[in-house]
Amino acid sequence: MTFVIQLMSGLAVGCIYGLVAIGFSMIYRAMGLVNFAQADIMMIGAFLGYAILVAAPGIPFWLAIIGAMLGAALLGFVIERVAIRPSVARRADQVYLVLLTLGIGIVLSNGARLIWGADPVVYPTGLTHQTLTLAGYPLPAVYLYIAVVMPALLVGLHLFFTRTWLGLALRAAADDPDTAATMGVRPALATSVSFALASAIGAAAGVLYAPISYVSFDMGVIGVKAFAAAVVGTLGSIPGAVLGGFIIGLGETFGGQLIATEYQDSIAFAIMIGILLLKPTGLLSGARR
Amino acid sequence: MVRGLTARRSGFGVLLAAALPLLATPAFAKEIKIGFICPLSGAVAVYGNDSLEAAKVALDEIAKSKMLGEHTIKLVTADTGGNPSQAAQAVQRMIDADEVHAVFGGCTSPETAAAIEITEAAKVPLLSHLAQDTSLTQKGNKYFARIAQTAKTFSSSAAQWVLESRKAKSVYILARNDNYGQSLADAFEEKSKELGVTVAGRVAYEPNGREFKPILAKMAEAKPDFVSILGFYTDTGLIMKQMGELQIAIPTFANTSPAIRQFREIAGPAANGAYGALYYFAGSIDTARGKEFTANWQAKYKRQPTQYEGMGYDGIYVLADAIRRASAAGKLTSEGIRDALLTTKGFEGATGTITIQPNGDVVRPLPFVQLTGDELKLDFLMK
Repeated sequence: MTFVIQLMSGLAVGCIYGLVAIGFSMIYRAMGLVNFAQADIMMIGAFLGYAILVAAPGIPFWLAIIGAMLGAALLGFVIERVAIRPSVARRADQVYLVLLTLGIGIVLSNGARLIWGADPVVYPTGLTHQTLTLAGYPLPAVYLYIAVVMPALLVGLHLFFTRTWLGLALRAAADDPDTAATMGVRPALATSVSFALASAIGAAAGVLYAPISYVSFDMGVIGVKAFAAAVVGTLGSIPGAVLGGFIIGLGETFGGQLIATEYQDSIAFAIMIGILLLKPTGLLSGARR
Repeated sequence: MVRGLTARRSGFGVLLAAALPLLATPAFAKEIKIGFICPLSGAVAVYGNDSLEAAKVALDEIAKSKMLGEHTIKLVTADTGGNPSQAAQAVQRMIDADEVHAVFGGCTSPETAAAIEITEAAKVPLLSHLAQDTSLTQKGNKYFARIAQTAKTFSSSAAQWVLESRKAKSVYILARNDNYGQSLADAFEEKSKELGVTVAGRVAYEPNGREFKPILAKMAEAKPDFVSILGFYTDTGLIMKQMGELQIAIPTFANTSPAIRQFREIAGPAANGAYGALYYFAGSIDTARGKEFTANWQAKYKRQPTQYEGMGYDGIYVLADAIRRASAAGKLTSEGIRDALLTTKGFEGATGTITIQPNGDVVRPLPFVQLTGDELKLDFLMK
């Protein structure tokens, strides 16, 4: 029983890390920037989901996910246009841009505290405490949503980036902005769209994570582990972000059990350090992104 | 540094120092600044927000009743976020910039330990209403007192009550991996062994952890008769929620959490039946003072006070009483307030009779409760 439960719990948490890590990677790939506000956007997404569920009691959970994703996409778009783009236009150094994203994260965190309060909140839906039994193993019902939404998002992203003009334009603008511009792609708009998309995926992670735990303005702290996941899988690689999420999620779950639960957090970072020592550019460097 | 109420700011320091005994008279009425440090944000914000609200109610009553004569108390508040270094910085700023005469708080043991480092050096009395870490009063601190039982007394009494009443033969202990959780766990384990109860396992979990299923699956394999979770309401809530998800139905002691609404929301149906020991349980004190407090609170807020509100309220009154006695003794200085605080005896508080011992520890009632549905029921009051 212990092994299967550890596996399920590690995979579920790994999915959340992976989704937040995808956001890190998308923005890094689009503009070479590590957006440390990504985890706070996840937190805002979780609160938007909460606001939707409170405002419309009984609304299907998947609608709360979509609503939060749309709200976060708009927020990400605005952040890019209002804060990031002007700094990039003034040729701000990468260090300052990273500090800027840290500042945005703090503003988002304090903003959430002002709007939703300092106390943690719980999603007012049966899903928060609902369980189901699968092959004799009790599981939180929200794991089913994670199991459906995560692959659906990955397939959706794959189709978007390989089958749609906008997706191809985003990839072109990320790989070679000058050439993409000559083909009619506006690199600035591509960056805005990437930000919006990354924010929407972060929000999905937040809404899916909320019923597992609770929502609080400081829940963005899991972003550190998500960033570790993105780095392990190679920053900029979407499959790498997912792989990194699973490695960190499963690693800390099994590692905590095998070594000592007191060091569960340290184990996640020990894994990252170990992998980067062996492969400094991450596990999927050189692979197609 | 002795912190007099007037001499420091006056050019006539010597003269005023000689006149200090007269401070109790209206002519020398002064504003007495008290620092307040607690988490007002973060995972344990409820401790601070409840305490602060009640502290303000107590201060309003004190001002209206003229308990301190013409002196008034001004509260200087700071949000620690539950972070010890933030608490230490806030206390240093309160002492240096605001020139507070005493500090009230912290709400958690780690932040209180950090605050003590500053208040001891500055010789400013610190009264905590919630900090339980046993070691806080075992290091020879001369300016620290509290009105919450030590972790050792609290946890040892809780172990005796729950294990005997449940007739448990084995217990599994889960405790936060910090001073607070570990000192509670030490006392719980020691008392369990003393009672002949087998400790089937003891796990120190990450204070910021949110995924406890691997620990719980292992715990279930040990098949204990009883589980004791010694942590804050966010972690005890999540642990009980995940116990429910794993369909682990073992009677559980959830520290002070069962009285907290957010604990019940986080844990959900799994919280039903949880046992707890509280700092204070509204309605458990049948003295005139205890009844008056709950009646007034009910009239003002249309609900009963929480344990943190009760403790915040009484803590301010204990401090005000010490200030009153220091003033009456003509020693209204930080040292005088400290001396009065450490000789508090038989104080009839809203949360019960409070006696502070010379080392800063307290003797006070301890209520035990059980959560039935959404209702908290008093099981036993240890006096």
